[in-house]
Amino acid sequence: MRSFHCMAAPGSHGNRGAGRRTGVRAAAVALAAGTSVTLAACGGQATGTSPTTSSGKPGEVLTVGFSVQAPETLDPAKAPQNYAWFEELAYEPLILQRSDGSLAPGLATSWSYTGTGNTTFVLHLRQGVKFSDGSSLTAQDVADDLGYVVKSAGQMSPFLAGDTFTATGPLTVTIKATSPNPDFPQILTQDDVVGDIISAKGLRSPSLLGTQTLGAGPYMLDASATVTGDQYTYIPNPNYYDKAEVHWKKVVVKVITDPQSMLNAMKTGQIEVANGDPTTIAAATSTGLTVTSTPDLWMGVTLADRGGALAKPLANAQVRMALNYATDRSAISKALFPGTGAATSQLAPPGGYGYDPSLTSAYPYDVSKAKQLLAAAGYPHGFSLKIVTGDYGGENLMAQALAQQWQQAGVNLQVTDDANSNQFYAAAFGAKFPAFMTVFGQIPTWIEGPSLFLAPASYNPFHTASASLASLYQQEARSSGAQQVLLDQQIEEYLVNQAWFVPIVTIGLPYYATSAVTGTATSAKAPLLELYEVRPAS
Amino acid sequence: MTLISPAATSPGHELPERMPAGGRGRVLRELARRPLALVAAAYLAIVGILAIGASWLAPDSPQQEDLTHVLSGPSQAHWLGTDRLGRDVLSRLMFGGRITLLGVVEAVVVFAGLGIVLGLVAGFTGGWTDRLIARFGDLVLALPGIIVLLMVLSVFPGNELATMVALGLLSCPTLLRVVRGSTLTIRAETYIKAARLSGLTSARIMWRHVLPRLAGPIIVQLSLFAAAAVLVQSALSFLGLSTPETQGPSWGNMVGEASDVISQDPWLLVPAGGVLVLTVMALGLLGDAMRDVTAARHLAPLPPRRTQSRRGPGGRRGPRGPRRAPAASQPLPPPASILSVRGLTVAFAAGGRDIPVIRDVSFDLAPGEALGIVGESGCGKTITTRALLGLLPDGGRVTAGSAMFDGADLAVMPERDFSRIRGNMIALISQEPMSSLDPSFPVGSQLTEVIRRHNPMSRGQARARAVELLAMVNLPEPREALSRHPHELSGGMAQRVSIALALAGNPRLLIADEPTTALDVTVQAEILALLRDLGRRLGTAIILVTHDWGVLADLCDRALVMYAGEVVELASVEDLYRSPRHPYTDGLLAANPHLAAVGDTLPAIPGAVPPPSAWPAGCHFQPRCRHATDECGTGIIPMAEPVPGRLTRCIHADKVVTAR
Amino acid sequence: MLRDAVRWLVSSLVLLFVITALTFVLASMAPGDAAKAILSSQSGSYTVQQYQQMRHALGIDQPLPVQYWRWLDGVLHGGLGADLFSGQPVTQELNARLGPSLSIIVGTVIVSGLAGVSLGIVSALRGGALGRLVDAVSLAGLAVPNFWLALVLVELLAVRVQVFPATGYAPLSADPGPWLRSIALPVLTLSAGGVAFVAKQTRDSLSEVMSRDFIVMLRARGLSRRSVVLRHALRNAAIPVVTVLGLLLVGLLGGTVLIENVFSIPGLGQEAVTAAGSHDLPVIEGVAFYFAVVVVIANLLVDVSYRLLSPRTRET
Repeated sequence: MRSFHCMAAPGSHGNRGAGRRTGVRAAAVALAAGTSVTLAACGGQATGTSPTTSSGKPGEVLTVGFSVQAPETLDPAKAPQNYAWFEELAYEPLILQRSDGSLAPGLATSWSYTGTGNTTFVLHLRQGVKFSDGSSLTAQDVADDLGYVVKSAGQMSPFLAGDTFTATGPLTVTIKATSPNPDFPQILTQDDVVGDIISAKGLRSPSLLGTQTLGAGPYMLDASATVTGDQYTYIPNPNYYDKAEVHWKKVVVKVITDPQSMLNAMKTGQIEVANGDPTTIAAATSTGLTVTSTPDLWMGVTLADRGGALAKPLANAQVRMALNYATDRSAISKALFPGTGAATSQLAPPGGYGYDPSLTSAYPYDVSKAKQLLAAAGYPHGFSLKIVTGDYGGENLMAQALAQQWQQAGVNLQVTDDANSNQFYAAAFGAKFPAFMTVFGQIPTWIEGPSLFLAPASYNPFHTASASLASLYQQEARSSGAQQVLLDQQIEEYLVNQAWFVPIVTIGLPYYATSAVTGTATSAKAPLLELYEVRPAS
Repeated sequence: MTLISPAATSPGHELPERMPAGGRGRVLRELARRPLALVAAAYLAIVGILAIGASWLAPDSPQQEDLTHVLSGPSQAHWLGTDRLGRDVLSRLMFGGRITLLGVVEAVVVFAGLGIVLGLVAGFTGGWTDRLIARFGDLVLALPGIIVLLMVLSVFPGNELATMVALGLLSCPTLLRVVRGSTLTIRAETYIKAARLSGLTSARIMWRHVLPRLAGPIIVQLSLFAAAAVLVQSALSFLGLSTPETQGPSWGNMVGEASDVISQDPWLLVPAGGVLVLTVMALGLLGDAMRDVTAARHLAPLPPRRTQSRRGPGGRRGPRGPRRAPAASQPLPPPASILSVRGLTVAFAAGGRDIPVIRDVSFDLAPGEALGIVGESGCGKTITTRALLGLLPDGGRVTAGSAMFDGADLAVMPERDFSRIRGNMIALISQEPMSSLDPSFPVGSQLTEVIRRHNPMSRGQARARAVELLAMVNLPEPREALSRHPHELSGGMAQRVSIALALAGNPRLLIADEPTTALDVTVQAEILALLRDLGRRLGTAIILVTHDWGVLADLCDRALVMYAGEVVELASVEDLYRSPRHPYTDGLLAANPHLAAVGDTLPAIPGAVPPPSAWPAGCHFQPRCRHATDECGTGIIPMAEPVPGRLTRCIHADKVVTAR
Repeated sequence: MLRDAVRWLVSSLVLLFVITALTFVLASMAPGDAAKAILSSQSGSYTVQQYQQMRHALGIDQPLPVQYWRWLDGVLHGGLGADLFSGQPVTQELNARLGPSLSIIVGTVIVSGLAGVSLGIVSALRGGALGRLVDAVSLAGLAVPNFWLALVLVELLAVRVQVFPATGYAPLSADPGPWLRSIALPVLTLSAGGVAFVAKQTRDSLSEVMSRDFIVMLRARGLSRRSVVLRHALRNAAIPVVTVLGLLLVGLLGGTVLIENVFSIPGLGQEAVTAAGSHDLPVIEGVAFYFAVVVVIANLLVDVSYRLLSPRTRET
């Protein structure tokens, strides 16, 4: 399994300079696991050769376009998952995520759970690894690094909090967790960033890590050619252990937040690969760019106020279901995401965690049914509902479309648009509105819990608690394999049937690439483009 | 000095004056005569109506979505196409106009209110208040507005009112300055002082007297600011910092949307961008037109070349101004005249016709002679001299006659040949010594430039020559004077410098156009003496234009008297004084205070000088002449020579003589 | 002379103080703060205690005057504080962004100055159809919103016909070629308004001067039309034009904010907007400071030009 946090690329001009420094969504995109059998939750060595066959010599310069915003810090313990690209170029993770979904050895050559209950996890490190500053990799270094991650209270640190990290041999690290954690391998890949190991020197002077890289990855940051907030230049790391994987003499990551500008830069050959935006997919395809994307996130509404604190009607499940029936998902999908979106009534994308094909059309578009349910719930004349939206990926457009659709059922949706993402988060997560527009990437359900549906989750600002959900969740902690898949589906069912959300479309985050490069494939299990696999087209 | 009648202002220059009678109405009418201003005003009116009346006039609701027809181009159902949610662009433009209009109104109100009030107070009160307000204005203007606006938007996110108020505040110093400047000027005018003395309060004075005159410039500033406000408002909206789409369409966020979908539907850029451009242009045009109408000086663009059109070989021979026959009975030019003018006629183009301002001017000038041209302001003296140098103002041209100088006819000379003449052969000094020198260059540099233009020599040599010239015109401390700038000189000194500049090319003829009018009495005498002296020493002929008999007598041997564009008499100065042979000359002399006895009432000539557009058919002086008969009005009176050496354009000249 | 210098120094300092203080006050009034922003970016939810700790660590729990005083103190010691998010010194961050913004601003002033003055001269002297054409073009140039024009130019000159790069900035290190090409479109966009502005003023000013008495007298003295216009008339018409160029320079500070956005140029303008949105006080202050310095320098240049051009002002 892999996990990675979704970078919902901005789809509207509202982000144009609207200060999105901390626009991170605590969303994580899960990769369609396909079947969990191959999931490394069961541990085991990753076998198989590297799927990348490099063409041999390093190419010249790879210019990458990054569209979310500039990272505030380059410290892997603090950088949210949005900025995985900036980290993975310079920092080698313990476990490598491959683009075909498999896991491969990184700084750890093998790993496994020992005992039962998913509480003890052991890693065996590679020999002879040197960091870019010349120091050597030791088990103590890794243990210290993981301790630093927890101390830094970064995005993924809660999944390592409370664990002890011990060097049980010169190249062996043991992690002991206080509560079961079925997903250690996913957490320790480059996609979750916290698995990126910092050198001992970096750990001694963490203030350097904000603007320099002290890792063991294929490249290292060239501070002299880097303009913070705009352009980050990486040059090959002379100490990297696998020189054949270094394909470029220089990698430059440029931050371009406007999707149209990004597209233009690609059309004019200034950039070879970039993360795109749902609103520019059609244009990118027609220009002849390679567009790769796998459905990995859902867009819709979070009906947060299930207790009725601000909006009494939402306390009633029938009302929430009525809203689901009142939504014409396919019209929105066709209008706003032609060719790339798929209408859906469930949270999981096809092939994703908890995906159940029968749930996709759980709520067909039916206005009269919606009105019926509303009447039965005691609102025959409808009601007013306040909702807040940001400007990501067209969600503000979606909100406006919903407003017109729900009006047919008598629900008057009052939209507040917070282009400034700080404000949006404060409003949405601060329980200031009973509902908010949402873009959420799939991650393993167990990892999703603390973000999305458990009582303390940020996407649950009114802290709705459900005993059945909590119970399912705890069972999953100890589970693995087919049992885990079943529990995933049960959780999904609960969320859909209780209409905690109004999922509308599921789309994939697109990546664009010019014909100058290859290695930009993504797969259902690995929807995030792995930069280190990108190489010159021969 | 004898000043005979109030000056008619020369064409093209108007002093700042009070609001003429029917002031506001006149301004509107002027405005209406300009087609661009009318179009702009009409456009703005239409936009305003469509925006305000959008609820009734728009074809669709701006929120009406049609998800099956998104991003469609112009069609019958949607004249300007649809946007990303299938909403009608035209309707959204109309409703969007409301937001823009509202924003602009908010900003303009603050701008106008603060600018006018502060400007009036500063200009009127003066002293500390004035200094404080002026400083405040300077400071505000120096603020980088964008930072302040960004900050205001952080404090009041998405609040359009706050930003527009801030914009008005940040920009008000421009209006403040204009109002303050004008108020200061007006305050010093006598009628304001009179109003004050008569007890009117400052506020009242400001309201009744000052403000109406400022109406023009204020409106100019308002419309220019409104144009800027439209741009700022839409820019902030485009950036997503205010008026988000969910609150309704605005022109700015519509451009923003267009930029998002530019790959899929570039058409969307056109409606919103177009309406922005047109609106700003319209406001700008209105402001410009207003400025043109109310400006103290008319800044009309200059015609192609600052030269007169020429008849003759290569020149235009048009239906206007056919060559007229020289006036009858003109004596042959005396031998060795350096300048012989015959029948010179100059006309100005006005409303499609040519209106003559001088007609049939003829005289000769002997080398070294000093000839006077005397007459009231507006009689054509200056025009005559300008015509000789090819320096008629815009719209003027020689339409008949000739002016032979050094074998060439100045009346038909092409522009490029004049370079040989000006400064070199014929030089000019004018009435206002201060404004005849370039204020930006020191005296020395201006002299050396002219010297080297006419005589190739090194800079050092030119400087030496310059000192010589300044010494020649009796300028004290000539070497030090070289580094002085014109504003450091007194009137008399400046006039001397002008004379030195005129002499730098060793001209054979010096035209002195009222050289002493603007000078003190004592200085006058000096300058005249200087001119006389120079004329004698250098053998330069002088044409002296004046309205003062005393000056005339001081310097000139002969003189011609002009009235209403015609030469009415030409004789020696002594003859003119003793026995004028034209009723006008007679009347002038009678009105000369120098010649009157103490205690007598000065006889004034009844009536007024006719303007060029209303010259009587026959003798121009007929309506005012006590000797006039019907015969005087039948046709153009030719010059006659009743006595050798005396020319007069009066058929009753003998009556003048006997009447004395 | 000394008195003037002192006066200039005092008024510049006052200006810097006012601008930065005003920015400080306004920025602090904005809802939300950097502590919240950092914490939410790291881990979604956080405790009150963590929030207080973060505020203390960032130094934003002090009263405003204290914060401002600390900042001033830092300035006097040559520093502008550190970015609250990345920890990088503000001076370092902003200096890297000076190049792009200055390139565009100075480039625009030069282009607008040269083209605008030329156009203004032509239209003042020739009048008639050419003059009216210049008028119309000027008006259009002033009326077109620069962000809209930028979009159009990018689409036409960078995407469809790939003459210039669509985004990005190439620093002027060794090769001026890429640098010039990268600033060409932004400069072109901003110059549309700039040329119009300058041309209009040049024309008005020159027309006014050409109608003055001394111009006729200069011709009367035999000087060529060319030298009368280019040497004498222009010199006298220069002051309002210089004023306008100064205003243009200051106005471009605002223009770059929009343009840098559309062209993804890493300049001060972009930084200003980003910092404003995330309440990064030291960076906001830093940008305000840099802008204020630009204003001061612009004013100085204008004043010096006045003195050089007009002998009368040399005495006052």
